[in-house]
Amino acid sequence: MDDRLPEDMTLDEALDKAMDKALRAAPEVRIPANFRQRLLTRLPATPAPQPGRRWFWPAMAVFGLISFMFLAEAALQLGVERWLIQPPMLLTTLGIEIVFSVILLWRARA
Amino acid sequence: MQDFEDIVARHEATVFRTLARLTGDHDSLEDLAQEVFLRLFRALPHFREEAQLSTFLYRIVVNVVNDEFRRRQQARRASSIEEDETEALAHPAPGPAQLLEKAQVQEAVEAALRELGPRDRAILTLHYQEERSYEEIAAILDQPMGTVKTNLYRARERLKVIMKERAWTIGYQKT
Repeated sequence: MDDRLPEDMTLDEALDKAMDKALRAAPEVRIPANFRQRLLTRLPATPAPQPGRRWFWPAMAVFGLISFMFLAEAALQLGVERWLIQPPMLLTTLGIEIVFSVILLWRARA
Repeated sequence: MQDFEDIVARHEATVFRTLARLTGDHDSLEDLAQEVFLRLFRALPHFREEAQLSTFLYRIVVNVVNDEFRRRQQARRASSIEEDETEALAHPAPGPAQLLEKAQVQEAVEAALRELGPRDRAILTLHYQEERSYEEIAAILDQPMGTVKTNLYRARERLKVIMKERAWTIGYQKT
């Protein structure tokens, strides 16, 4: 009676061991001596900070404030304030602001 | 600039050996490595300290290799050479007769790796050669950890199938 291990099992075990060893062995590579020098000459120049961008956010804040004042005035003229100060409206407004704040914070962290 | 030079000095060996395993090609390693570090340099201002630099760098390596494979595929299509013929030209592998010696196993595994897709190669390289944890591989490949484990298992099984087809003449069978 042939009591040898099945061929497949022997091949599997041997292959598993050989594969493990071969996969863990890193290929030999040669890094050219002047690799770093050549890389550094190809680096793009660091872009200088753009001074024009410094006014952007202050300008956006002023624009937002003016827009809000305009909308508030329009609302007062139309008598919307009586509707806006209703509790359900206040809660809805608060909820929307919270959602947008969370989204902006999450994107800033991402 | 000195900081970046230090980063290159610390990681160039890792980048070179990972590229070598992923591409199976030693001729274009320097060009690909330069591309990796150029992309890293451009991305460094946006790099957040929460992630490890090595994770970030491995991701760039994988992307560069994927881009290179796409470029080669497009070049092959443009030159109208048959796929099988180009594979033979690009990836000379030991034939069955040459695999008779166990010393050829390493070369056989390298050749079998070249028959796998880029994704399988990446996951096997990151896990075995680079010894990255499942969490790190998930971060590098932007996959859930469960997917990483599944893909790793499948990649290894595919590699084993290829190896079995090549290895039947190696001599692991009992005589």
